[in-house]
Parts: sequence; structure tokens; C-alpha cells
Amino acid sequence: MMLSKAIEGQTYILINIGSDPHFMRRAGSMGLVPNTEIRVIRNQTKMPILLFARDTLIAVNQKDAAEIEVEANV
Amino acid sequence: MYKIALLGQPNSGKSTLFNALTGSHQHVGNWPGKTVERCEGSYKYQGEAISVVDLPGSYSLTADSEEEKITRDFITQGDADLILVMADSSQLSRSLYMLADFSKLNAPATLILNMEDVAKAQGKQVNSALLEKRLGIPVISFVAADLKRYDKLKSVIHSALSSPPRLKVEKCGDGQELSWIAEILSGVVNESQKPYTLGKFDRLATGRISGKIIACAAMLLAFACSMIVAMPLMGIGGMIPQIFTPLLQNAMDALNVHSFLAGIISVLIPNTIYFAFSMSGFVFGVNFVFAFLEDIGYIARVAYVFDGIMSKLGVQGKSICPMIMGFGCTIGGAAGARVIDNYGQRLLTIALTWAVPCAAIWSVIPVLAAYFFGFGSIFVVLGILAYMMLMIFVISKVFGKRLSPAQTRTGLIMELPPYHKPHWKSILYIAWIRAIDIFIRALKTIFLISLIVYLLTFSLSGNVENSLLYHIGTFIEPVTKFFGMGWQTFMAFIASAFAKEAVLGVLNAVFAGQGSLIAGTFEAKSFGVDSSILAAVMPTVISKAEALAFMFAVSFNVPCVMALSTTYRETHSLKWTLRLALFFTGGALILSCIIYHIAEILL
Repeated sequence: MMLSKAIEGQTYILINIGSDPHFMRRAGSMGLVPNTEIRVIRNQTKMPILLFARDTLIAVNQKDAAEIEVEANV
Repeated sequence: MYKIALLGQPNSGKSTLFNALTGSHQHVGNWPGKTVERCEGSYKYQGEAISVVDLPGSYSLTADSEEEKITRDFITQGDADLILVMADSSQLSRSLYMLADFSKLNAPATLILNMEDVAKAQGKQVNSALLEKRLGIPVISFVAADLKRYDKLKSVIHSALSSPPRLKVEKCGDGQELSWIAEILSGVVNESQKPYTLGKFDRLATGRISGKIIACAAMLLAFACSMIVAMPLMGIGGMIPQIFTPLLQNAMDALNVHSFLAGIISVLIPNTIYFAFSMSGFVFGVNFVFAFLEDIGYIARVAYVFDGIMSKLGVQGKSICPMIMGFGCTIGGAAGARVIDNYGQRLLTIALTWAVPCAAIWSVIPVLAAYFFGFGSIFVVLGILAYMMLMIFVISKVFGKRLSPAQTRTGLIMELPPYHKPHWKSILYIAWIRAIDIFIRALKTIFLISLIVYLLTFSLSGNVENSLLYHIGTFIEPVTKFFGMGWQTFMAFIASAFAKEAVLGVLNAVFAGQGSLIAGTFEAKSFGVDSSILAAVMPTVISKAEALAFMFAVSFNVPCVMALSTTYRETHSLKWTLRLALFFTGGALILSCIIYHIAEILL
């Protein structure tokens, strides 16, 4: 599934960080690479998604979140 | 002289460290030929001067942006004797990213694990000795905002400089940064895991609507607080002309000094000092409040809630702060733009803030509008607000491409640091240094421009018609008429670039014959204007169309001298300050021209 559809409070594993190399590098420098565990803190309409990963609260735009593939972590 | 450089991601506390380390010994400029800020400073340790370069903020060294290219080149060219790499102790597994990238370049380094206090509060213990042994370079746990810790840091730097330490560990492979970090960190961080939850306040502060309301309220509060902090300084400054102008005037009269020189001594100098005083007082207040909001971690929330709207203008969500501040005072807006960590976007934010009419304009325009339009003046005010929106849009289009190229726009992904207690001492220290700095520089700028205005408005007899400005104004009136302004309103328009309050003072001198042009220009701010006669006289001389054109021209003219001076100080670019000033003056004249000719037909 895509990160933009993620549910608040759930944990996910990042599978794929989209296709734009610039965005991938930025996401990487923020600690977001494939296989990273993230927890979705907040997902409101028309607002960047708030997620928690590697001890950091990170905001990701909805547009970019729609390109990020995640998998529910059970 | 030894040279050290600071390297770290945004929010790593790099600028706090730089400010505390170098204090008032700073030179801020631009990297040659680039719209990227270069901060250099120095400090002394055991009699030896050490120069410090703050490398432009970036997330990595991949050379994605101009900032990253500069930083990368600086390190690879070996321009520094030691690089201080900053990381955040409370989130090491992420914030060592810069070190991982840096390991590819092989330069002498020391690692600073900042925000030890935050990490402790979160129950994290960092074994810096183990990390030091593993990396082969000095590793120091630190709190950049705690001024007491700098002696120790300086001594660590000093010994590192005498035998430059280099990383012992293997270079990090491309794309392997995070696993490289994980390996380095194994067994280093000891933490009691607590699942992260959003606090009650943070839930509101990051809400789509509640977050915006809180942010706007916080900015209004910030403005009020800045005023309260600044009030004592402004009060003292305000007393200078009120006490000294009459005294000096009497002394000059008694000594029979020529009125030209007497005016400079009794009016110009006290008012210049007053302006510089109130300006630096306000800058102090704004810096204090903004540094506080940034230190506790709130500004990042504003950036988050306003990112959607502001990124359309090419600036960060944070840019809303200086712009709201601009309704109070453009000086505050320009000074507050410091919260924007990217130089180009900061410049763009200041340009946008210029388009927001300040409180002085809001105090003048409704008064004038009421003379001419009575209750209709509400539409003038609404019209100005609407045009402000248009102006903001136009500026973002005209300057956005240059100042904020698409790839440096940072809204796509950002960090929201945890809240923490303010470090009062470092906040006060930084605000104080900036206020002193701007006071000295402002004195020069304001005096120079005041002198020009003084020469233009001086008249031997005290009569407006003997001033240079009158002669110029009446001579070029055929031209200014085309732009919708007669010589009287054009004089007031010119004066409005000096101080917005001067508009009423100058009009009063011109129409009501009350006081000289000099008094109207310089003293409107400190003594106020009694405009009762103006209300009766002005509408009989000036047409409604001209009045309307004039009010718009004044509202969107260049901001006052003090705001210009602050802009120059904050951007340290004369070229950009002048470019913006020309754009605004030209824009105001064109606007006035259009409004005048349309209003002529309609009104």
C-alpha cells in the first residue's frame, strides 16, 4: 500500500521510496530508506503526514507520500 | 591562524554553536558569486585566534544543491584545519548521516553530540567514549545552548588542532549510510524505549485549522512581546529628540548658528539616534521572541502547518512568521526572517514582507481615506489588502525562480524537533549581540539618508516653497501628474520612504502650513501630528482620484529607512536591497498611475 493511505497509530515497513532521485536522497538523509520501521502519528487530509522513525518526528507531503510504498508491520 | 569549520544538518544546533563560539566577532557575507550565505567568525583561545566557518546548512554532501556543492568543495579542498561535525544525541541513528557522508572525504574532524540534555530527558545514555574509540576522532557530548560548556569544547578543539585526528573506520559506501551508522552505533546508545505519542498541545499545534490559528495567535503574541521587550529602549530613544531638540535649538539660537547647521544639530542628529535606538530595540525584541520560539521547537510546527500555502510562493512554511510580523513592523519582519535557514528563501521572504503594509501605514491611510471618502474608506482599506495579496503573488513570480530554485525548496520532507525548555542565557546573548550590531550600522545608514532628506527639505525661511524638494517637485510635476500625483502628494510620497508617519507631517506642512517641511518629516514620529486643519484643507485641493492613487502608492512604496537598513543588514547584499527598493518604487508609481487614470474616469 501507499504511505498516503496509512492509518494513524499503525507501524509500517518502508518498501520503496518513490522514483525521484532528489527526493530519495533527501528522504535517506532523514533516515528513511527501504526496510526502515515507521509509525504513522498523524494523517489528516490536505496536511503532510507525520511519522516517527529513528527517534525523529518527520513530516512528509501527501504528494510524496503517495509515491512511497509501505507494508503493514505485524 | 587555525581555521575550523562547522558541519551539520538543519536543527543540529549548528548556528547556536557558531553564535556562542564567535559572539560578536562575525563577518557575514556571501560565497563568491552565489546566493548562499557565508558566515565566518573567530574566537581566541590561550591567546591564539581561531577562525570559524559555518558551512551552509544542508542534509548531506551529495551536491544536490548549491549549498551542498559549496560545503563539499570546501571540505575536499582542505580549506579547514578541523571540521566539527554536529549530530543530535537524541536521534543519533538518523543524525549521524552527515558523518557517514563526511567519512567519504577523509578530512580531520571532531564529532559533537549536541543536545545531550534532550537525550537525557528522553532516557537515552550515549557512550561517547566507546564511540570515540571506534571512530578514532574526539567525540564530545554537548549542549550548544549552555554557555558554561564552551571552555571544555575549546580545549578539545585546541588539542585536536595540534594533532589533526582522522576517522579510523572504513569509509561509508554510497547508499550504505544508514547501515554504516547502525554498525558504528551498536552498543553505544542505551535507551529505555517509550513509544512516541503526540502531546495534547502538539495535536492542536499540528492540526490543519487549529494549527494555523495557534500559529497566527503566536505571531501576534510575538509581536506584542517584542514591543514589550523593546519598549524601554524605544522609550529612552523617544526622549532624545523630545529633550534635546528644544534644548539644542535654544542653544543654536543663542549662539547665532546658521539655521542650516542648527537644524542638523538640533533636529537631524537627535532623531537619527532615536530612530537607531527604537530600531535596535525592536530588533532585539523580535530576535528574542523568535529565538525563544525556535529554541523550544515551536517554529517547526508553524513551518509544518503553513507549508502547503507558503510553498506555492516558493518559500518555507516558516516564512509566514516574518510576513505576519510585517503587519506590525517591516523591521521586525526583516529581522525575523532569520528563522529561514536558506539564504535565497530568506531574501524572498523579506521581499514578500515588504509587500505587507506596516502598522504605521495602517495608522495613516484610514485617516486620509476618511477625509476623502468618509465611510467609503473601508473599501480603500479592503482594496489595499486585496492588492497586497496580488503583490505577494507577483513578487513570488518575479523573484522566486532566482531566489528559490525548485530543487532547493525544502517543504517536501522535514523534521519536527521535540519541544524542550528554553535556554534563556543563550537566547538573550544572541538577541543582544544582534541588537548592538544593528545599532551601530543603523546609525550610519539612517544618518546618511536623513541628511539627503534634510538637504531636500531644508528651506532658509522655513517656508515650504524655498526647499529643494519643492523646486524639484514642481519642476517635474508634469511627469508626476502622469503618475497621478501633484507636487504636494509627490513630496509626501518621497517622505513616506523615509518614515511612514512623515506622510501626515509633510502633508500638514504643505497644506495647512503647520510647521516646516523638516519638522513634518523628522518630527512626525516623535512628536505626532495635529491634522485637524489638514482634514478641512486637503480635500479642497486634491481630487479624489489623486488621493486614492496616492494612498496606494504610499502603502506599496519601499518600506521606511529603518526597514531598508535592517534588510541590508540581514541580507548583507546592497545589490538585492537596491534591486528590491527599485522594484517597489517603480511598482508604486505604476500602480498610482493606473489607479489615478481609472479613478479619474469612474469617480
